[in-house]
Amino acid sequence: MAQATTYNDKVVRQFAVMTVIWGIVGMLVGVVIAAQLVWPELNVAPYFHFGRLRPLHTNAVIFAFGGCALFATSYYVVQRTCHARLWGGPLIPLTFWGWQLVIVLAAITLPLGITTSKEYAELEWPIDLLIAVVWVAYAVVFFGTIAKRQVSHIYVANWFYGAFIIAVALLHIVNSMETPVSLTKSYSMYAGAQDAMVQWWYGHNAVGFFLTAGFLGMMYYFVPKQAGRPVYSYRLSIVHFWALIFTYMWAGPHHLHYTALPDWTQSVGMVFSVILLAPSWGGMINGIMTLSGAWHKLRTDPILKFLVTSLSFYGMSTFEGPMMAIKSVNALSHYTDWTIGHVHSGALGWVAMVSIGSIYFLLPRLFGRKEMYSPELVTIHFWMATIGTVLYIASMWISGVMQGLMWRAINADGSLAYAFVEGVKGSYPFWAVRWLGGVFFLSGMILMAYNMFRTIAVGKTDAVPVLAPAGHH
Amino acid sequence: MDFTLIAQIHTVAAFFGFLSICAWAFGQAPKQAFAEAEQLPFTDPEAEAEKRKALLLGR
Repeated sequence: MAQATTYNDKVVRQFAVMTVIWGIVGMLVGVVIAAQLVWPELNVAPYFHFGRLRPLHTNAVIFAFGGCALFATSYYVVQRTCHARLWGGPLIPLTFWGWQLVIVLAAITLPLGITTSKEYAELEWPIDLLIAVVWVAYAVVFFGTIAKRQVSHIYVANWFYGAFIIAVALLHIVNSMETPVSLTKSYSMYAGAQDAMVQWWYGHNAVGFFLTAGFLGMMYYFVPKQAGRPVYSYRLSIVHFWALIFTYMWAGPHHLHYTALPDWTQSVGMVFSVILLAPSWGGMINGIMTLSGAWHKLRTDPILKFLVTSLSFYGMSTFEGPMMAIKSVNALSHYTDWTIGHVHSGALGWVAMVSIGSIYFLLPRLFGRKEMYSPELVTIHFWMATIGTVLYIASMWISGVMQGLMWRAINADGSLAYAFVEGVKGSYPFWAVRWLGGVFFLSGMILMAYNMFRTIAVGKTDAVPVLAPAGHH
Repeated sequence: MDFTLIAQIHTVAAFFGFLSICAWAFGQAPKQAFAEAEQLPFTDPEAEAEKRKALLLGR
């Protein structure tokens, strides 16, 4: 069969496999740094102490694990829903190999201490330039494929993927404006409170568009597919999309409550964060209600369990986020472990679970199998991931609230009731539980890798023909 | 016209733009298009093959 009439699944396979591998790497580093907090002697200076490994963990899980999952699923979804082969020729392998190079460079430079020190944007300027090149190539491939689609409508998942691609390009370029002073050092072009504002405009929208919009694209394709039913309300998905787009960009200042940022800016950030609850829950309800009439499948289908549980965590974390953005709540929660618990409710419960479910959906199809090598292992993975997530976030919630209350407690004479180190001491048991939760989650990923490689070993990689949908010839 | 006024106009215009999208989405006009669009995930080759198999088996 001619190449032009088959889907390009090779790049989807590459990204899907690397999602699992980078997931293990990133989560392993997470478990190591969690252990370093419990057993400080595990900090090995200078390359492997907490301060250098923590950004390696965040970069690996967000951009390596999450990024590869987004590339894999977006390339699969855009081809299947547009009934078109990926467009872009050599740009397609460039996105894969270029993105892997970015990840490897991050893994080398961050332990060496080469960093801009901007959270989630630590990579230095030569890597920033490489990211920009890869991202532009990604945009060209994705939108080029949409442009040559055989159906008139652009499926809603592609809207979310498209917004994620455009917004991340905008965020990355604006926040990475910097003056290089050497090959490995640059300084931000912004200064003081403006630098902080731009950084958290970037930081929050990295959550909003990298870790939310793209994964909602996954949700809008893989939940209906796995449930065998169309999305509950297509019109709600349209409103969900535009509400999210209109609202997210304003919420960044809630990361800077009670700082030098102008007070009105903090208030705007707070108000828009609370408003965000509406579109977030609209999308969550749309995803969960897609299972109407198919709830019985949850009993036996571990992939659906991953997808629906991810939506539940999405609902929880998008309720918790707006609440934490309220200034009076933030006064208690900020700088405590509560924030870490909230982030991992989203990162483990939502992002990782929807990615894992989607990759489990893809792997058998990409390797010519009816199902994974061992569906039982998928079920075990689901429970390990769920237990790990619950242990993680519950321990961090308790630890965070305790820290906040201890820090603000004062004696009758106005002096602090507790020294800072007493809060640290009180946190130890919860940090140990958090580490255990991470071990559960990581162990599940290792099971997934085993299951994946066994599936690949007995699978085959046949080209799938592009099929024009009925009525759209 | 200063920047603040432009920003205010832009914000109000964006809000009304959003309300217009809501009104359009929940109106009657796009109903048929949405009904077709929501079926797109089920028209890929794998799904078509499943449908044909089900037809052949008389299910």
